[in-house]
Amino acid sequence: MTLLSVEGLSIRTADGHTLVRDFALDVNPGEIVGIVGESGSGKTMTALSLLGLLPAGVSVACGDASLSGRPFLRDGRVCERPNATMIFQNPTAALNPTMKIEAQLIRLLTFLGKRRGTGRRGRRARAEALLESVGIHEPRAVLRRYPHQLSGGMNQRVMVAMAVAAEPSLLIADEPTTGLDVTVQAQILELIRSTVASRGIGVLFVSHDMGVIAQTCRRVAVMYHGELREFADVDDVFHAPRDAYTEELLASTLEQPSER
Amino acid sequence: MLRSGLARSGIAVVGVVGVAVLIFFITRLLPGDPARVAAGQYATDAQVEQLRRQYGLDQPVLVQFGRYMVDFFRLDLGTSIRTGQPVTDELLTRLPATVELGLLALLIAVVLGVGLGVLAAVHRHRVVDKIIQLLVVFASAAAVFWIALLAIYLFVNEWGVFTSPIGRLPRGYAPPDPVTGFYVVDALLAGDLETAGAALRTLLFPAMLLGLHASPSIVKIVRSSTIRALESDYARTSRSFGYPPGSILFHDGLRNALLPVITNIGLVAGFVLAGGNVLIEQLYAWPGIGQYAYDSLQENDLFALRGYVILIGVTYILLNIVLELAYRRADPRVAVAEGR
Repeated sequence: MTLLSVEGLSIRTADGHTLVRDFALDVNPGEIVGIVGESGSGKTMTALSLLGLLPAGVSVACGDASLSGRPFLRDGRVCERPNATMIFQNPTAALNPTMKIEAQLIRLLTFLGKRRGTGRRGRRARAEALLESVGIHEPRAVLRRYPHQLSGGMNQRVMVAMAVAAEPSLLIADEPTTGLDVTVQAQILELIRSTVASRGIGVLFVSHDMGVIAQTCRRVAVMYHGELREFADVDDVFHAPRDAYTEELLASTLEQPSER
Repeated sequence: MLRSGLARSGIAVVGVVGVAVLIFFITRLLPGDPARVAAGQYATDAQVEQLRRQYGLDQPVLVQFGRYMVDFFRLDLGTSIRTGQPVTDELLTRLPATVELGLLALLIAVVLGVGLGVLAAVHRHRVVDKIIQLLVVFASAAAVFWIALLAIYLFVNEWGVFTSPIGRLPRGYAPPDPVTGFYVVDALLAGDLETAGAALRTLLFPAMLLGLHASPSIVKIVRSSTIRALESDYARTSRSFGYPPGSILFHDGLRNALLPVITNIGLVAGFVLAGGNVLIEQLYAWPGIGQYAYDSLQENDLFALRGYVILIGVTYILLNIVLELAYRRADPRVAVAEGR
């Protein structure tokens, strides 16, 4: 059974520009599906639209989407919150600068606890355990810090811990490794892969980097100017691209020093 | 922390001395001859000359400056030409009236400014926001003396909501025993609820006007910084988890919007204590330092004016130190940038 299915998704600005046109894709449980494309191709807008996070003046014009068989987007209107969470590009900016990591985790755990009816006790220990589960060796030290006192990679780990704490069935990752060192990038990718393996959740992985997509995803959707050009296995896309733009994108990636 | 605290006090001392030096030379540029004014319209040249000697105004500028600085460090601001009393004493007896009015006005300005600013930010680009923006334009464009006169006419003469603006208490009330110098507090300490109520009601009228007059800049800053915080990446993260709007507004919006507001509140506090209150105190016959400055200026009372400006300058510097501490508490990044 498919986990996430998106059909006929179009995104428009208030002044009539179409940013994404008739997009469709599906994700299976335990699968990482990529969306690749250059800046401005509409891949991030697509990801944001699924969680209702589009910026002011941009909205979903039409489209349907469902998660685990439950529709959450019907004809362009959000009809319920999908059980999905998201991690973002620039993790340091994605965390509240005036709150310590501990306060941010406790805030999340309290919120989740209220939703699930579990108690307030043991939140501190749970926060510690969460950080340990994403490979942070000194959780206590990290809990006491503010986001600006931590590296980008560390903050992204914290973001993954928070995203996982909500026990989603889908994780949306928007350029999660852009701007990080290559070694840290590899660690974060490994963290996402192991999270998928241990929890069986699906991941929608947005990136402009064909190299990162190739080593992370099984299938990939290629976007260009708001349109879906190709949606196929990564191997097929790499070795026998059906679309002229995909070929161009591949060529430009291969010219750069490989990061793999 | 201790080291930066010492450095800060050092900078403050330099600031205070700088203010004193600057004021000496600026007040020398004031038009008119203080000795001439003090002697009166019909005094002979010999009498004027005698007064000039008495105040030391016949000495070379550098000698005058040296005496002025020595007196300054002894907290002696000279003698008022107009009243013949020591300026320091006169200012200190009048200070509580101004501070009482200023603090309440500041409170009103902050409550009004933050409230309207947040309201505008939450409803940004919609009708509520437009209305608040319009109010802000009116409040900052209207002259305070005109608004005050209109308010006195309406609230006192027409509707009788407030008593006549004739000082800190209505007719028939005796001032409470001075403890803090704040009439409302002193009356409460004395257990005199009636006087406290009357004092508060008398205080509220000018404080409301002064607060209203000072609030537009706070509204503007709170609105823009709250919008920025609500549209930030971290607010988006909070929305991605589905946090309730109230939590996002408070933790992501207000908490981060507070930083520029703290800076602005410093400016507004200075305005409320020094700038705006000269007019308001004059219109409400409020016996504070603003009225004192106005009277001194009318009669070219050089030493009283100097004393007033020095007091305001020192208050500004102290205010800035307090704000800097508040800023460090509110924004953890400031402390880190200083290597704490």
